[in-house]
Amino acid sequence: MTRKSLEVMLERIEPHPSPRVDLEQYTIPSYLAATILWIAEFKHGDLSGRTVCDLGCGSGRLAIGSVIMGARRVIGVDIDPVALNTARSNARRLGVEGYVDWILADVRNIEISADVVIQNPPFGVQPSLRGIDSVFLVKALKIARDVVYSLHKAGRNNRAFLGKLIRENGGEVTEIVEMEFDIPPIYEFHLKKHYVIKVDLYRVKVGK
Amino acid sequence: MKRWLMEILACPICKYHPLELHVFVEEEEIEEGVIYCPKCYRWYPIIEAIPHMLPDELRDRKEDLEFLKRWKDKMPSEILERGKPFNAKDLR
Repeated sequence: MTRKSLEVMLERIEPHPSPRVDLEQYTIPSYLAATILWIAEFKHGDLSGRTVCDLGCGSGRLAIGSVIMGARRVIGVDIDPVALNTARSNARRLGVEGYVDWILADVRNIEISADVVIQNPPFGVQPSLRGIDSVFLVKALKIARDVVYSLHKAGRNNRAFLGKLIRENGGEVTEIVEMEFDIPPIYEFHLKKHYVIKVDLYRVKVGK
Repeated sequence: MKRWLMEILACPICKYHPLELHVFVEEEEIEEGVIYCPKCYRWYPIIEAIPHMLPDELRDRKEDLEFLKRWKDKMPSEILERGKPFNAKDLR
């Protein structure tokens, strides 16, 4: 498999039919999901044979992609039932439904364990969601026995803030990969054709 | 939902593990059933193969009561008698 063929496969995953602005639901572009999965598996061997959890899984790109990369079991967690129904039918369409489970839950109090967490949490830009990226990150560090992959807004201040948060919660950042998140105009308040947001992918080793 | 999920899932409210699983409809996976916490008595419905592990304040009372009514005959008596946040008393 090539990174491009993975991207083409992920392209077959339907996005959320009616993204909710109050949950900051953006479907992760397939090139970005493919790059993250590629790094996780072919650079670090973090997915194959592992139990992987995707917090805020939405329509399931990272979760389903993790199965394609050889994860033994995958759990996608989201608070939106519409997103989970989409994810479930996506898993069926790609023939991976036997390896993945979907859970309707609030990230604040889900209690589960996994080897690896891979997530693209809301950035916490909407006033009602301020700080939610930190909530996801701290929860991911609790769930994962081994490694966390988490996508966050770039910027020096955010790196310092998240770095401290990760250390305080027992994690160690081993790598930060700079990426660009291309957001199409899906909401009414989007005036431009495309928004490109600079993002950082964190790989965090969890010492347990 | 697959059965192995019970190995890694704990009660979202009281953190207790392991939880009890009662299956009502099973095809390739569990389509309908209930997950029960024997410590805090909360029950969580499995609807269309998706377990709903929500805290009390986010639960849909109407949907939960319909679920209780629909599976009354297969529901463990303990859940009907003292299940939280809703039980058979709320059906009357």
